[in-house]
Amino acid sequence: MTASDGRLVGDLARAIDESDFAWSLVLVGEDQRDKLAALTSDLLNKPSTSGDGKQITSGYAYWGIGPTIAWAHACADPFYLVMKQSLDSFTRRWGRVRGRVGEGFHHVSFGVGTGHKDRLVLEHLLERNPGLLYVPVDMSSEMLRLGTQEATHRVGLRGHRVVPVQLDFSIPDNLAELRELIHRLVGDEPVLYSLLGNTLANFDQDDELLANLTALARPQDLFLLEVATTEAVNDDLAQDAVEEYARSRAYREFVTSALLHNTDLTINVDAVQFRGAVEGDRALKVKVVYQNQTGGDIMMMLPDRNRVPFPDRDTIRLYLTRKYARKALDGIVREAGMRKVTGTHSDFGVPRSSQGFGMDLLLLAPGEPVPAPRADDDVADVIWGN
Amino acid sequence: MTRIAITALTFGALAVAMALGVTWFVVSPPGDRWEPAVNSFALLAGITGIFAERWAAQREQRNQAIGSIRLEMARNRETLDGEAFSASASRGRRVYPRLVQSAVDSALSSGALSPHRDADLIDLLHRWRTAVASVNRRLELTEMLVFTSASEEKAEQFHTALHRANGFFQGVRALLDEAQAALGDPVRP
Repeated sequence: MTASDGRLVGDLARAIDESDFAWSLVLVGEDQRDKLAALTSDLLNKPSTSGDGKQITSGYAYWGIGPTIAWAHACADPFYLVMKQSLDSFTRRWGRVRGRVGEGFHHVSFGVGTGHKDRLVLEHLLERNPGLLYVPVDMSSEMLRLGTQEATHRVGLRGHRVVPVQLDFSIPDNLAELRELIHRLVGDEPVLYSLLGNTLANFDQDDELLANLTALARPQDLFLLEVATTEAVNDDLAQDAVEEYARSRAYREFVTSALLHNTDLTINVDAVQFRGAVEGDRALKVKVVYQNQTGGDIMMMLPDRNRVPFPDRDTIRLYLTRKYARKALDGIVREAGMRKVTGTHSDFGVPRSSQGFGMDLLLLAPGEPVPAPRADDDVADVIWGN
Repeated sequence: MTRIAITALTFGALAVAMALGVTWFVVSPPGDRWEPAVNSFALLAGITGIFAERWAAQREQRNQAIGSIRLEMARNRETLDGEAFSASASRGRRVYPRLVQSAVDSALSSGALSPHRDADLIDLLHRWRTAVASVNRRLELTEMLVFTSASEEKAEQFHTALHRANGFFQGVRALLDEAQAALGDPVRP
């Protein structure tokens, strides 16, 4: 880089910091045409009544300004219990684990969400590292804009220290590039990576995603993971999990918003179905599907202007989420090659929620996988189990 | 043996006296029958009085035992519904209050309850007594393990296990509901 290039970067940083206009400097990591082609391809899958054919994969559910606004509305809906409880209890849970995060950390946040949680994290990290670099990563530039504004509001972080990255972080090649970028930006200084708001649960191959994300962490780095949890795993609780999501109309509008903005379907939110299942002994799984209940075949226009059939009873999977069994968390962390530094749990203390549902916040560090639990690790369960 | 002999002697004497009194009444001339009649009725009142007093004493003893058990159950209810055993209570280290069972022990050992009439209640109280002993023992183990562990997470693990749906503690609450219902006390909604 020449001296004039350096001056240009410096001038750009000053222009962002000194302007009253809300500039944001976004690094776009992917060709958005490829993303549109992938979304179109996913909507061309074979018919299925079980939600295993056509689908809108995680990331696309938030892609575009319409879904972003619908997401923000859903987060403000008191009937969307998971999000409300997650936001309400995060301050307390973060307060319990933040003492284990040392000084000098930068912050890389995967899936920035509403930005409320990142703001709390940034406030803490900034006190210990005024030169902090904040790198929110999301597939949706609109989500990045929304979340980053909230995350940096009044925390005293200068604009040029915020580097939003538009990138689909479920693709391993993208993560390899991101790793290079982060290491160039921070050098050997430690980074706190975070994946909050039960985002992990939205991916089909969630274990693989977690392993890929945690592989970014070097020995000096930490990883903050937040997941929705359940004390037990059975069909009744899967049904309870379904009801927890199904009662929010704003949530239904959010999950259908990607369909509304990428197809010409006339959306009927009553055609949104929630299907719960038990995923082995590790999680309760909830699939949110949109089913053609008109009694006849429909022609649906895709983003590439192609018209494809959407047969009667066919489904489009709109969203996937899980509640992880608390007992399975150690195994999930271990398989990702991480060890738990500390963790905290918060129950959903409201009558509308099933007993045993809650959120867990785990602070992880790379290193030797945690050994399999000894028999006496479950001593609390042995004593009070039955 | 001595008790049986005294009982036999007492009731034998009363029976003979009663028979003699009735005979005396029959053989007496009509004008002299007041005295054997009074004598016979006095003996009859003595015999029935013994049984009546025994029945009343047993009934009073049973009522006192049931009343004490009710108070004890209400006290245990307050303990279980209290802050220490609330799911929203602090998850840190703590010493838990214990459940009490002295009234139940006393009732079972004193024979205040009738093995025939109160068979179901006696069975329920035996189960409750076993549950209380088990709770208190498990609380001791919990406190020992939590206080001797350097990790605060341990206390959280025990808190979670204690309040687990379908766990042991929920079973104890259900048993208390059943016991209070059997004693005719109002059960929590």
